[in-house]
Amino acid sequence: MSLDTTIKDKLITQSFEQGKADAISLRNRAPELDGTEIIAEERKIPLFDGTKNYIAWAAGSPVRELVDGEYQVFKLLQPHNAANYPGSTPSNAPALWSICHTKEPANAKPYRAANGTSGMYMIGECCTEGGKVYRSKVDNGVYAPSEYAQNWELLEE
Amino acid sequence: MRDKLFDPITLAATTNYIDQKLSEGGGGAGSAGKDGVSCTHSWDGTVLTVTSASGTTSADLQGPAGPAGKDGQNGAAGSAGKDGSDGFSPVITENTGNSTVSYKLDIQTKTGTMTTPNLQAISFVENAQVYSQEETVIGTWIDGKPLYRKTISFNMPSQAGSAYQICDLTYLNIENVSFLNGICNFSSNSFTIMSSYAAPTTYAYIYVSDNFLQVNFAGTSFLSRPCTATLEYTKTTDAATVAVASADELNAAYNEGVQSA
Repeated sequence: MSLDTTIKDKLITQSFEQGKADAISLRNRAPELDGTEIIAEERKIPLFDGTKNYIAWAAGSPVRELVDGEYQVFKLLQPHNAANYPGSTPSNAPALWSICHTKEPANAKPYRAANGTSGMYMIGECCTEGGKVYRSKVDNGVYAPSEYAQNWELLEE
Repeated sequence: MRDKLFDPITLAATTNYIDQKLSEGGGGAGSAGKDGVSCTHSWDGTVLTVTSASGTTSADLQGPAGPAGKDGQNGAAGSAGKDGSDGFSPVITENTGNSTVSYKLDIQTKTGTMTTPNLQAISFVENAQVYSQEETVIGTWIDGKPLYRKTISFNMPSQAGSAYQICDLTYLNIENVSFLNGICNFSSNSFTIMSSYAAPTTYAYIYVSDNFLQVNFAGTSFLSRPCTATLEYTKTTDAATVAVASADELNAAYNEGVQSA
């Protein structure tokens, strides 16, 4: 006798709808949130899709991208159709996307070099490098902790 | 009037003149009169209207309403109505999915077949508060398997130590223990065996391992004390009837929802 999937199907549908609703809610709020607040709700951020049309998305809407084995979060700068930019991703298209940093050490992401003025580290923003967590002591930081330690405070050994 | 318009002399002269003329027979015939006009009338059931050469005249000829008349006689009986549609006797059969914990009936009606709720659930409600040394079905587990309850009475070992085997549960074919609670009674106290006393030198906890109900305790407080252990469990010998959604599956569905937004 086959198993009754009524309850399972219902739960899976509920989870799907919850994920969709959470993502839309965050996207609607994101333009008013800073990187710390957005990354705190990272689970609600969809992965970047190179075939997706982002024209209808508001500036500030977040996506995630797997960069060097770790997920980074980016905010949309200019609504566009990603299909028209083959090969571009948030991490290599600073005119379209800007990386988010967090001031919450527990959510810190691996250090990423700034792209021009996009992605510079501000005071209090954290990163990880070599398994350690650092907090920026300066605004507009463009050097990694290993490159310019004076700009960073080591938070964990 | 003529007296006022003419003085007597003039009148006399005129009269003579006229008389003279009449006697001479010299007057001609008068001119033709106008055509007459016929009267017309109209009647609207209440008002008669007459129109003549001199104008239109109307008169309301309807009097006040008279008293109501008597009721008429009853009419003849109507023709017989159409025959009603045929009746339908429901057919009741046992549901093919019935099991130890599920008893449903399929009722075929004229419009289709409906299935009753699980009638066996009534006994679950009755057994919900039954604690017995006999194995009792008290409901269903998340996979639809029957959920059994059994209470075991035992005495704590007379010597403290670890992993004392209280009794062999192999015959129960336990697959999943959903609830296990032990109570140790002594003096006027009843202690939950699990994690009783947080102190490292006095504790006791009970568990099922390798098909044995086992107890582990330290300290002298529990020595030889009468205890009970209540287990709720499913059996390997029963078949699951309900698909279980794992946390991984639910997380995957959530992520799909996020991605779809």
